[in-house]
Amino acid sequence: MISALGFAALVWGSVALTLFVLGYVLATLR
Amino acid sequence: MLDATLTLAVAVVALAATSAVGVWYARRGERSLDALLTARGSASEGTTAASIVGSVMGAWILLSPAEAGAAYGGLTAVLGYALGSAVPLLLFVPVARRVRTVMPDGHSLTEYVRARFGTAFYLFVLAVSVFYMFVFLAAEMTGVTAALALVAGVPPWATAAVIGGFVLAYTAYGGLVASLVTDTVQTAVALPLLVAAAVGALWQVGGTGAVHATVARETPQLLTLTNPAAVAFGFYVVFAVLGANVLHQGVWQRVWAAESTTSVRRAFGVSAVAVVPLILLAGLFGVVAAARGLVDGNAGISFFLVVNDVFPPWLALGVVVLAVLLVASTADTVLNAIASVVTVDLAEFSDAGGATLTRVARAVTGLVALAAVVVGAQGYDVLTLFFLADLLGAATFAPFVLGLYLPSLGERGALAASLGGLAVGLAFFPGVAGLVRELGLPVSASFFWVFVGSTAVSVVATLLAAAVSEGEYDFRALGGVGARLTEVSER
Repeated sequence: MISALGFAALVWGSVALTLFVLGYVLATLR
Repeated sequence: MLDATLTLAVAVVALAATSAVGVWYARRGERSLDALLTARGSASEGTTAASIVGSVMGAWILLSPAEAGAAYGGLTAVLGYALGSAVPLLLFVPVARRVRTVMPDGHSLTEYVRARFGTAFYLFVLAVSVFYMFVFLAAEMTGVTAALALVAGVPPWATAAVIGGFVLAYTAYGGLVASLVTDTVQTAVALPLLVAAAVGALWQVGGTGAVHATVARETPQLLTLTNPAAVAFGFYVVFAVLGANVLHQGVWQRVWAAESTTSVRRAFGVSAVAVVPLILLAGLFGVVAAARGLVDGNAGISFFLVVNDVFPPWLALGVVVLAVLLVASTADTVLNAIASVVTVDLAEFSDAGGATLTRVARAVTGLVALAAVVVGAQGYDVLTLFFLADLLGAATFAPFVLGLYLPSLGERGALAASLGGLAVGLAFFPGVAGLVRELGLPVSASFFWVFVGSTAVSVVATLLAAAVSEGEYDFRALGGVGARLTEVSER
């Protein structure tokens, strides 16, 4: 079973990755 | 529950705003047939990536991943779903380069398959591709009408008509150019909204620690990473998603719409990275719904059960905007994709000029939108049709893609590989497996074998057909494909 820390890492990692991708997309728009 | 009129008004405002952007942008440029169908070389890396994400990530991400999280194996199934959805986009990193290299003037996947293989396989791929795209569109409409009926009691016909009407308006007017720019805006708004919904829901239920504790106590099986059924689901969903996406004309259009080969390859890579956290965040709602005891035979709407449970109405309106934008960015892509397939093929089979082809493209866009609104408002169970469309894709994509690389693969081999894969997949398909069993074959219904079996048979048969064939296709012949339409379009 995934630990509480692993669960938190999964959630906040997903949030961070989504925001990173959004930033990358906006930065490469023209 | 939200007020139905207010919810519909918010949906109208969101759709009107993005439609205005689409129409404004399309008015700025020339409104040629090329802008309507191909928009060749016009999209920057960011636009291409945002448009790919917007096109493939529909309202289904608020439905299926959460359902998998609640009912098909919790976190493992969600992880499988997330990674599985990234695979087809990763596949396009090399495939996009190959397509742009061998067929620089192309417009559609059917144009490729007819030139590369011949009429029989072309007709097969055309049927599979259009069937998949329409089922995708109908499922999106059905999903969003059900979701808005649940959270706000909006009549399904009203949701379907409002979304269908706005999307039709800007897509028929601005074609692919409008679809690309609205996809970008819709994705740029939808991504932060999904993050806000996930973070907001976690906040409301006490943070990740509290959620973990609740799930570990109530439904610990959803937190294990070794549940065999969930691992199997995570594995076969890759093959279910893979074939269907490869046969999505909207994805192919974006290969040519990108400004350069480098930018389209990067855009597919970025899109593959993007879909993983999006599906994970959406899927976690299913795990939360199950742990909080909200799911009672209705796992398909787990995401909205959590929204109804933890959000005050004004915050739930943000989720309405999210759902509507996700549908719109997917629906405009599919509408334009089906219109482009029909128009490109008409250009090949007739000597119609640019004006006629433009009228045809707009008429097809309108007809498909009308059909999607009518079907979407009925609330049919489209899941079986979706699985069937996925099976057709899984059985077909191997010879279709490998035809770009294996010169010895011929039309008969491609057709045999597809039909072989389809036969195996159908033998395990629920409802068919029982009949096959009565014939004495030891099979039982299993989606694992439907998708993994059909893909494996199709891949092996394709490689065998290419190995034993004596023919040799000259890829230079693809170089001139689409030249007539390009000439008509840009006139």
